[in-house]
Parts: sequence; C-alpha cells; structure tokens
Amino acid sequence: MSNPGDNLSEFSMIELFRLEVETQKVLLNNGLVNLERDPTNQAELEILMRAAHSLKGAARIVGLDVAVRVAHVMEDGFVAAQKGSVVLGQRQIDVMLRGVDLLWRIASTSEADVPSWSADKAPEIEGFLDALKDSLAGKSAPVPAATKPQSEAPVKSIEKADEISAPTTKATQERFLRVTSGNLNRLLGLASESLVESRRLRPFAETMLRLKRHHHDLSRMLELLQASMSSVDELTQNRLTSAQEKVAECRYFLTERLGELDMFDRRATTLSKRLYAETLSCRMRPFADGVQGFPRLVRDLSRKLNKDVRLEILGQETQVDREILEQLETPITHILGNAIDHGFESSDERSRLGKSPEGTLRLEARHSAGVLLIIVSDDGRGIDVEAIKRAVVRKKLATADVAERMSEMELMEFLFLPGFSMKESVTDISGRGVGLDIVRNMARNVRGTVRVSSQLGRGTRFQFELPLTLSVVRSLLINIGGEPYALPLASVNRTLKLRRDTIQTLEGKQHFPFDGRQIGLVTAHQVLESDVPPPADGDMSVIIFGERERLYGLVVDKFLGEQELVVQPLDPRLGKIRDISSGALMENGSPVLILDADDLIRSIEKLASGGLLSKVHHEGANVVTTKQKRVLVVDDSLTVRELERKLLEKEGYEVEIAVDGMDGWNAVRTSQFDLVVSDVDMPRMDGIELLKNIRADAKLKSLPVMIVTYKDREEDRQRGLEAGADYYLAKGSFHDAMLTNAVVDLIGKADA
Amino acid sequence: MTPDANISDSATPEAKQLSAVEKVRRLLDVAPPEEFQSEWTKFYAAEKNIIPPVTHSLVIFRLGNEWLALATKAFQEIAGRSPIHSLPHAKKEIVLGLVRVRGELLITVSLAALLGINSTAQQDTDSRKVRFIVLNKEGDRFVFPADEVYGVHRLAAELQPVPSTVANAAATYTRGLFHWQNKIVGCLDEQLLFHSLNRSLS
Repeated sequence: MSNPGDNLSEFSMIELFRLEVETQKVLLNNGLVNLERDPTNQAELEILMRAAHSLKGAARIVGLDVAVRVAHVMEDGFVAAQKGSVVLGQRQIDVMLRGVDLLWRIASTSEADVPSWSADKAPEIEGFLDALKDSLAGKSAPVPAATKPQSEAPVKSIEKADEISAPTTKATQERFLRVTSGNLNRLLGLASESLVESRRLRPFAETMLRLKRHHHDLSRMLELLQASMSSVDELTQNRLTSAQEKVAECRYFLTERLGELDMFDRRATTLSKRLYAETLSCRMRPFADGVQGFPRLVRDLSRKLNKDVRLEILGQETQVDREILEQLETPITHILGNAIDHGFESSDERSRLGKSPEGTLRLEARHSAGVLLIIVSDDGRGIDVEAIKRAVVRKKLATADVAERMSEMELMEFLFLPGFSMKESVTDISGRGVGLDIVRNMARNVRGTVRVSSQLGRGTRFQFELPLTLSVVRSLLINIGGEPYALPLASVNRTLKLRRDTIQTLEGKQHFPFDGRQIGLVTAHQVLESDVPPPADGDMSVIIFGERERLYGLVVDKFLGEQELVVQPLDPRLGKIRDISSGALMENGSPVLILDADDLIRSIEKLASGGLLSKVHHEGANVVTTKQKRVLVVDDSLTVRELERKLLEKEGYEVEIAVDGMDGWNAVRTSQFDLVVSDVDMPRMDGIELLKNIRADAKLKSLPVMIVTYKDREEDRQRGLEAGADYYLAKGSFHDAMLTNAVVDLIGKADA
Repeated sequence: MTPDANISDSATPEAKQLSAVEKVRRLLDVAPPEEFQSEWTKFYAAEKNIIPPVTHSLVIFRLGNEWLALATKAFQEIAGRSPIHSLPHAKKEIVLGLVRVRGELLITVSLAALLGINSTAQQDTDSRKVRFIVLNKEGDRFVFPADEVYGVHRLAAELQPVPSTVANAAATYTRGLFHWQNKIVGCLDEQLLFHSLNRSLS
C-alpha cells in the first residue's frame, strides 16, 4: 500500500549537478550583469565568488574535472576582483558570461557524453581558460583610485556583503524548493478531500436539530399530560415530574453538544478552506522565478545591437501560476527583443532628443482587480500610428479611407496580425514577420488578453491581462445523461431556454432562429454518445457555441449553475478523450468532467454535416462480424513489429502486438490467438522462454508458435525447434511471401 | 579515599574519560559464568522448531458469488462507495469511469466484467458491504467495486493448482486456489490483471 515515490534520491549525480548549475547560473548571470554597472560592488563580487566556489565543489564531487577547472578560474577571477587587483570590465564580463554558458552546457550533457568534454571538446575548454586568463591579465593593473580606500574597505564591505547576501541566499533556498508535480497533485487531492468532508458536518448538525425539536415536542406532551390529569396520586406525580426533569436535562445536554458541534464545524471548515487555498497557492511562484534570464538577455542583445539599455524588473514577488509563468517566457523575450532592436534610439540620438542616454525597459507584474497584469514598457521612440496606417493601406488590409477613420486602438490591433511587420529590413532579432501574433496566441491560450499602447517619441507599453491561475476555471455546470459536466465560461457564447415548437427540421437536421438567422442544433447526448435518452418534453436548455459564422446550439438536459472548479488532469493512460479536457470535483465531492470547447465544436460540425451518414454506417458495421484468425506478433523492434503487422493484416489476419516476451506471455494468457510470431532476443523475457512457457501451459501447449530471428546459425535453429517452435524463420531470408506463406501453412487462410 | 574518587573529583576532563575507559575495560574483562558457554551450545545444537512461514499475504474479497484474493502489496486502500462518472465515447464493459478517492480522480474498472462474473456491486446502492478497492502497481492505479471485502489473510500454505477442467475467464487470471472458511478462494495474478486492465484503456 504505497504511493509511487518521487524524490531527489532518484536523480543521478550529473542530474544533481545540473540542478546546482541551474541555481547558480542565475546568480552568476545576474551578478555579472549588475557588476557591469558597478564593477567594484563588493556585495555582488562576494555572491559571484561564492557561486563559482559552490560550483567548483559540486563539480569535484561528481568528478567533472573540466567543470572544476572552469569554475576554479572564474572563482580566482572574482577573488582577484575582490582584492582589487583586477577590475572586471565589459570585456572580462563577456568572457565570464561565456564561462557560465560553458558550465551550463557541461551540466546539460547526458551521462554518456560526459567524456567528450575531456576529448574532442577539450580545445573549447582550453580556449575559454586562456581567454579568461588573458582578459584578466590584460587589465591586471590595479585601478589607482579604487585601491587606496579598498585596502581598508574590504573588511567592512565584506561584512556588508554578508548582510546583503545572507537574505538573498535564504530567499533563493526558499524559491528553489523542489516538489514534484505528482506530490503536489496528491497534496491538493487530500486537501480537497478534507474540504469535502468538512462540508458534511453542517447537514449533519442540521439533522440533529430535528432531534432537538422532538425533545421540545416531548416536553410539550408531558406538560399537556400533566394538565389533562386533574387529580393524580403522589407516585404518578413524582414519576411525571422526574420524566419532565429528564427531558429538560436531555434538552440542555443536546443544546450544549450542538453548540460544540457548530463550533467544531466552523473550525474544521475554516481550517480545510485555508489548507486548500494554501495548497492551491503552491502552484504559484514568484514572478522573479520566471524572469531570471532576462537581465542577461537584455545585456547581450543591447551589446550586440550597440544600444544602451537597462532592464528594470518590478513586482518580482508577485505570485504567478507556474504554467502561466512558463508560457510567458517566449512572448516577453519577443517583446524585449523588439524593443531593443527598433524601439530604442541610439544613445547619441537620445541625447539629442533630450532623453537620458541610457534607455529603460521596464518589466512589471502585479495583481489588480482579480487579474494578473504583466506590463512591458520602454521609453524609446514609440510606435508611429501614421506608419501603421500606411502599412495597412500598403498591405491592402483596408482602404486609405477606412484606415483614416480608425481609432488608435483599432490600428494598434493590426500589429498582432500574423505576418504584419512595419519594418522593411529583417534582422536576426526581430522583424521576421513572426511577429506579435505569437504574443497574442499565448495570451489567448491562457484565457487572457494583450494590448499595446504607445506615445510617439515617449515609448511603448504592452499590457497583458491574464487570469491569476490556470488551476481554477469558472465554469457552467450542466447535466448530460444524468451526469454533471462543466464548460469553461470563456467558451460559452450564450445560454437559453428554447420552446420545442420553435425548432424546425431541414433535411433531417434541426435548426432554430437566433439573432435573425438559423442555427444548427445538436444534442449533447449525440455528441458524447450517451446511451441515456434525453428528456423528451419541456423547454430545451441550449448553449450557444462558437464564433460569428460558426455558431452552434448544444442541447443539454439541465443547467446546474456556475462554479469555480479546480482542474485535475486525467490519468494519462486514458489518452486524450475526445470532447473532454480534464476533470474536477464539485462541492459535494462528485466527479465532474470539463468539456473541451474546441473539440466540441469540431464534433458538432461533424455531426451537423455528416451525422446521419455516420449513423447509417454505424449500423452497417455491426453486420460485418465474421471471425478472423488472430495472430500475436512479439518483437521489441517497432519496425519489425509494424512490418509483420502490415504483411499479416494485408492477408486478412487480425494482428495484436506485444513489445517483449513478458508482454507476449501476458497477452497469450488473457486473449485467444491462433498463432504467435515471436522474435528471440528481447528484454525481460526472450522468445525461447516465452515458447517454453507456452509449451508448459496446459491450455496453451498446442498454440502454434513461429520464431522469427536474425540468428541464422544452425544451433540457434536447433534450440528454437527443441523448445517447441512450429516454424523457424530467419530474418536474413525474410521477404513478404516467406512470412505469409509460412503463416498460411501453419494455420490456414485468415477467414478459413 | 580511593584513587578513583580522587580522579573524578579533581582531575581534568581527559582524566575522567580515561577512567571511564578503564571501567569499561574492566567490565569486559570479567570472565563469563561457567554454564554460559554450554547453555548457548545447547541452544544452537537443538533441533529447530520450525514455524510454518507465511507464504502469501492476501486480501480476500467477493465478486458476485466468487471469493477471490490478491496480494496485499497490490492494494493501496479500501474505500467506501462513491459515485462513478462515466467517460464519453468509452466502451462501458470494463472501464466504468472515474471516481473520487482522497480527492483524486481515479480510473474505475469492473473486475467482475473482466473475469466474466455477475456482480451487482456497482449498481446495488443499498448494500452496506460494497467497497471500492484501489489497486496500485508501480504507480498505475485502478479502482474496482467489490461486493464485500473480508480483509487481509495470511496464508501459510502453497496455492493449489487450478483444475484444468475449469476454463472460464476467471480461471485465466487465477494463480491458484486455497481453502478459507469452508470456501474455495481463487488467488488472482495481479501482473496479468494489470496487463489486461491497462490494455482495456486504449
């Protein structure tokens, strides 16, 4: 009774080293970029030195000597810079950054390829080591101004460095806590289970109130009994009184316990809710985790394009859904690249325009009114609306007349069209026509929007409005065939109740008038192939789907209401289930399936166009059920397996496949076959062993087995036949007719 | 005053430690009692009183009229009844749908259908004996409804072979039989079971 264990102990040494480099790489990259602006910053140097030192240690433990050497030289460089004997200028930082990349590449090598670093890739390492040594030596002369104060300063600044780096390293440790998604999902499952369980307490407490009422009735009855008895003897009176006392006692006791139960219910519910919310928030990561690569990216690009650009990142602690954070990387990279390439003027031009020579790119994340805002803005030259107009007209997307009347917002929308580029020249970084449409697609994928605004000469601003999380989706709950389903609200166009007499039938297909046109109607029962008949009377509940030209009405049994659902991926063994995207739990704990709107539209279109045909076809399929001979093909090579399958299926045999002897052994025991065609060399259980197993089994011993193998030697053949093979075919002499002829010889034609 | 007391009162910590070592040494040097050796010799020379080892740890359950068992290690948990949500487009013979267990949605199958046994476990909402069994083999999980679960049984005997005259679907998955409470229980082969169940998904 265990769960599949997944933890760090399953990683190999090189994988652990990779995790380490992944962490330190960020520190090194960002530290180096910061250092470039402030070359004597002792706090940064301290962080850099430690990062290189840690990597050196880690590389030594896993025995990656090349990595040890690279990290060692880098560490020496940082130590020298700390002492002030070297100043790390742009040139040195270039080389250092190359070193970071090199370390990352070493760590990313697969285990088998590690030796190549000390062999054919060795010159690259030597080249780097020399380059770094040279660049450090080139500027080895101490900076006169800096040396003096530093001879006293180091002690102080190192203390300061400790102060600064201590919290950063702590924060880093917190940030890089690794939890597998499996663990997280189970945790979320348990939290949601406890939430469902806690909700049961209230109905239970409410039923207990009935007991309280009964008690009340009982004491009323006793009072009435007393009133109706005019003269009673003392004994009866005493008994009645003690009964009344007992009832009163019970009521008091019950009231007390109910009060406690109420308190307990409230505590349990609050606790479960908080536990659940907290677990859900584990899916969130700080924005900082997703933007670590950007400072380096901006530095490299602006160096390459000869621009002076600084990146500011605001709202690093803003919580962002893991999945959204991952998907943001490409569009943000794209926007940053665009901005640096043609958003910014050169430093000279900026100075002439009275701007600061250094351009500022600002990346900002914050929560606002229930949405996540991601804003990328620059103080560059901005977008010329007139230029868009000209491009729109030139590309014949609108007439000059129409373009003239468009608002600025409408014109900006053209930037997001695929292939729309205002730049005539194509550069390595941007303007390749694969433009902002990928940015918009990403936003759409996560059910968000993106807008661009600009002030000519002052800058451009991209604003993403994204959902706070992908794990929660607001949905319309519906009932189909007696079971609950959910449809994300974003994909619902409209819902309505339809009187049955408004439906018209045209060529066997149902339509109804909507918004002045006819819309095709399909029942959800048909789409999902439910075998429960839909309700036959009363108004119909219809969901309108799709966009403009492709509107469809889907008839469901009942609308159940709106709810926020926490999305659960389905078991991957199920594959992609058509029309379903994922699952979730309703408040009462019942499972609900979330419909896949894109799939649904396709299914509906298919039904609306060829629905009747497929029905006829379906009935026809039942008739053709003649019994074919079944062959099991066992081979660990996909190519051989598929070749044999094709050959045999062409002859009309029904073919099943198994990927090795064990799989084949399981298959022959659980299903009927007329023949087994098996390879010899396979993992887990080889063909000879499979054959022996079959021959030793009471029920299977007479099952014909054909061995097909590369082993063409006589002793192999003998071994196969001795084990009980009915036929031995060498793959060397393998051509179409031989296999099929042998099969026909053994078991006859497919349908005989 | 003994020398020992003298040391422990006034000596340095090193000296104290030395004395502890000395005490241990003296303790270990004590000669064993005379009968010690012969007692243990007798013990090891005696014939071993063999307790029959538990050969199988099994969970016994009922599907329809048949009592069956599966290795305990294949069980993740035994849960109560819970509503099953069917899967659209699926053949509903073996795969019944999804069910919530501990807040997760797990695939539910009808083991009875796979074995060709008539069971009412999944429809019979009145029965208080029905349990949903969660199997787990290397992370692959399945839930199946059982009409009744007895619990863990430790079998201290070998399984008896299945008579070759029995040729129904259930026999295919049976590794062997054993007697329990005047009943014959079929012990299922979980590897074969998972093989077929996994295949039934695709």
